[in-house]
Amino acid sequence: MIVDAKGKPCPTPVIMTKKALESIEEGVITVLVDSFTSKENVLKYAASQGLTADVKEKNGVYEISIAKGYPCSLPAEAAVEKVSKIVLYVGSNAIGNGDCYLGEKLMDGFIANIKNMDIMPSSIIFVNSGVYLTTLNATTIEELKKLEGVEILSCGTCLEHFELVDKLKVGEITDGYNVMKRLFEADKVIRL
Amino acid sequence: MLVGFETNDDAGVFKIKDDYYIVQTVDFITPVVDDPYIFGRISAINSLSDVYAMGANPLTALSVLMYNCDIDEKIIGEMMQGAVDELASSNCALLGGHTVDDHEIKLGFAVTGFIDDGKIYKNCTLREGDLLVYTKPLGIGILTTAIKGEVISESALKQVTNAMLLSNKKASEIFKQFDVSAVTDVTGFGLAGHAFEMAKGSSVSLEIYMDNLKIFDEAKSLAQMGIIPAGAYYNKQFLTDNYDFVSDEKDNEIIVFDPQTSGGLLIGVSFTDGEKLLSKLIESGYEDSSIIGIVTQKSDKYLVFK
Repeated sequence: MIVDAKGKPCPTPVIMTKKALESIEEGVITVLVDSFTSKENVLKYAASQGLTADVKEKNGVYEISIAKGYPCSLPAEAAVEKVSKIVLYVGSNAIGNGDCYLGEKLMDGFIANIKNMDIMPSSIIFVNSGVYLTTLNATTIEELKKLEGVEILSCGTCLEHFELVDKLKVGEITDGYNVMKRLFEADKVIRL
Repeated sequence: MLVGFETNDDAGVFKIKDDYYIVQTVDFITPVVDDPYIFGRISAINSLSDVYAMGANPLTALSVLMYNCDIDEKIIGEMMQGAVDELASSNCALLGGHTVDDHEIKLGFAVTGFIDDGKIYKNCTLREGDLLVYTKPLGIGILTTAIKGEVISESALKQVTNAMLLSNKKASEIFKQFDVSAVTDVTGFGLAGHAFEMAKGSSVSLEIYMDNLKIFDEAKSLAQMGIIPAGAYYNKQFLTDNYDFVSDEKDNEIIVFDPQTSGGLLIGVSFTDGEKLLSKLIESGYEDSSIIGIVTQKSDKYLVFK
């Protein structure tokens, strides 16, 4: 694929590169730019994504080849790709039975650490008292906001039950059908 | 004439009579946010800033407007309303202006201000041993580039808009209460470019501490992704022989060259007044102010980033 970004002002060449790379699973794209600035910016973008890039200059035009998905890319980059569809099902505001204070603490820790996992869930679904975590718990709300590309869903019936509909701070409201659909289509469901 | 071209100062200063000077400047910018009303306000604040950086009060303004007739008049109306509201709140009268057809919107003002106490705050009068205070976070140019590329987060959009809407008016009133030697506002040449003009004009060198700079978090990550305006590279290129960068924070180097729209004031203040000025600024709404460096004897480079 050739991305012709000649004559385009910042940040257009980077955005065009980003879109082109997002549109392919793997392969090589060639970006054409005609300014030093755009060349530097596109190389920076490739490096920030853990991709290898190669530059050739001909008559003031830089030809930047960026490879995606080949074994030479960094493992971290491959790891963040969704290899399978994981759905995280959170049915309560605490983890485990017994001491509920301890359970809430464990839940805060769990949610805060999702971002450190190699593979991200495609969706996180909050039901029953789990919806406290998307409405009232400032710690988990903040952590959930940091998760990029993860769908965050709170059960509408549950929000209504606890009168929390207008308190939703992160993600979207969903219904029973969509919750079931996510669970049935998942490769793996993690229940908390 | 008291201040002209020679020292690349923020505005020209002309003496009318003893202790009474007029201050003149012009600046215009292309849109940095999508909302026309807010852009109008930012444009006015940006143009007024040069007057405040000289320690003057604005008096009158003339608009400089460029746009293509295809643009809805309502948008131009909202833009001008934002600018007029901002000028009015700064006690600056809009007398008229000039409009030219152009493919990209540009708006700014030629502002005339006055000094009635005979005190001009130039950019070229730093003293060895002074501390340097800067009043806004850096990375505005990178974030506005990200707005254009539609890759900015909502929270960063809010932060950078607020930073650009923060007028230097009050900061100007504050610095006049302290032992301040020189002031400039940081705009198109970035922190490094404007600091260089101060250092060169004053025949001193500046040590700037990277750890002390306030930088928008998202500007750091966007810079690594290559969302960097061309101006930052030009600024860096221009200063190649005049600075040393010895800090470990290599990733943030480009940010000191980032062009700032409606940037903050860079103030040289005596060592004894530094902390006092800083706390006054912070309690007056300039929360991201910090002491970023010191003025030293002139060495072989004008700027050293540590």
